[in-house]
Amino acid sequence: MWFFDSPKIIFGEDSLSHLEQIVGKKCFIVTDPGIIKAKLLDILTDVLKEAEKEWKIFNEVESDPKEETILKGAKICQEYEPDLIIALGGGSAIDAAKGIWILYERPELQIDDMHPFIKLGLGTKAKMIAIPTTSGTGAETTWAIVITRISDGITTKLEQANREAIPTYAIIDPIFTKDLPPKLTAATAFDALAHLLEGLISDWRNDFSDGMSLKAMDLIRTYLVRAYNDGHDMEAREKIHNAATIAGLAFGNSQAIMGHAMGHVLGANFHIHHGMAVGLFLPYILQYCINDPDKNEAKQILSKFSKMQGIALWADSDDVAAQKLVQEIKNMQEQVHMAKSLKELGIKKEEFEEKLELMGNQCLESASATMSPRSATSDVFMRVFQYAYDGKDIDF
Amino acid sequence: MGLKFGTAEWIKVYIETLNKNKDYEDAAKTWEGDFLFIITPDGNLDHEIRFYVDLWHGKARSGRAVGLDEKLETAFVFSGKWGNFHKLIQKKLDPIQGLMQGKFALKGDMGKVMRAVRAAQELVNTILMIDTEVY
Ligand SMILES: [Fe+2]
Repeated sequence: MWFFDSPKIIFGEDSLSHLEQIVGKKCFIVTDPGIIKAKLLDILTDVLKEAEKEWKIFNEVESDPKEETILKGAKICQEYEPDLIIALGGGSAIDAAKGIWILYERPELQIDDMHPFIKLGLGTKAKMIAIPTTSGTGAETTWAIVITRISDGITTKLEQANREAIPTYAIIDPIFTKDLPPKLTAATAFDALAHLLEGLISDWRNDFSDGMSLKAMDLIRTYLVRAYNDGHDMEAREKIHNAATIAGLAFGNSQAIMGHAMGHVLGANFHIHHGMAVGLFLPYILQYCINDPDKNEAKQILSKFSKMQGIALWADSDDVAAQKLVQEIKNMQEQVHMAKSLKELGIKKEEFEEKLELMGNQCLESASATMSPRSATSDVFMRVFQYAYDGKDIDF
Repeated sequence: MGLKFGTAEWIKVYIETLNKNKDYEDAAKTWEGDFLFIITPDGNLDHEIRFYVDLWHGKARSGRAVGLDEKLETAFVFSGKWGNFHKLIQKKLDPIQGLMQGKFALKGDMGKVMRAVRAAQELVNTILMIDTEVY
């Protein structure tokens, strides 16, 4: 027995106009200053005005939202008493809004109560609408809430989660992504790529999530370079926007694996963009899973996937087909100028080595770390980090 | 012949095995908290099994069978039917998925557990290292 959870999804050109049809007058908008500067908030409020809705804006979400920000937003939200909570932004705004939504509905709860085993009873005071402005995080479809906690000088990314914390609606309108700079287009798409591939080999993978991975991969391979080279290619933008949400459904219902554990830990310690981090680690963690001396599981899944995508030939052995998939990802990294090593990202060797042991241990605290088809100890995580620092293929 | 699951002899061997499991030690380095496991009758199991394990910084400091009438305060209580425990120790059921499906119940600091999922997996893996006789 398992579940497949999804928000109601409204997608494609002009999907934002569906807001008029959604019941609820008072809207609490959770966003960040960058969205306002980019005039994306105006697009939303124009539609709200047209629909004769009221709104209040909370625009203090930083990238990698801290728990204090969520508590502050929740307090303002509780005072405003909205019918709808609208998240407009990337993963940070959407995750912050999920946290605010929970605390609005259940003011007696704490951040630490946002775990998978609690019954929340959301949706009695407000429904949540997620409007992603990047094509990657999939936060609009998942029940994960990544929250940054700083205590005793150590930064941790809490991976809070609850199946009820899925937005009620996700509006996937490509209008919000048309001015996304190429670098961010690439990094966020690589987040989606990591979602669909990590979900594909995760211990919790299932028939429903697998199907999502297949389609999302096809879309990213077909449209990413087009969207990267010409941001105003709206067909490519729309397809990549859809791909990110579909990849979100894939990993949201199967879970991310060790690449996300490493990405969160690297992000917490070096403030590296999430998509850049998980996209960078992707070939390394796939190689590690393919190299499993005890089981062929991951290799066989990736081999079949590689053949179904037309990356490998049906006559290829599993070894060759899985390797071709890894090579394809490296090629895509080059096409969109993604960093392939931590060194290339500009992380200083000294600082990296100083934090390496802490990072290896922090990976073990991540639930994602346990979902991999090949398990990893803190020493393994440290080695993978080191290989990724130098840009060396995983040979163990 | 194997040891019957949940008996005093089995628990003794479980603790010894756990204390030799380097992967558990690595994953549970910072863990502090004792557990009471409650396995309720189901299928071929006609009685309730309770056992206690005190887990501390990658090791089990102690462990023993617990009588049904004994009052015991522990940081965590993990309970479920034997049928589900049987699936768990065969690795046919993931502990976290089992909790989310309502097949197990857990009392205690959940946030702490969610940061120790890897350690929980190793607690299960340790059972697989013992020649266990089931009900
Ligand atoms: Fe991600």
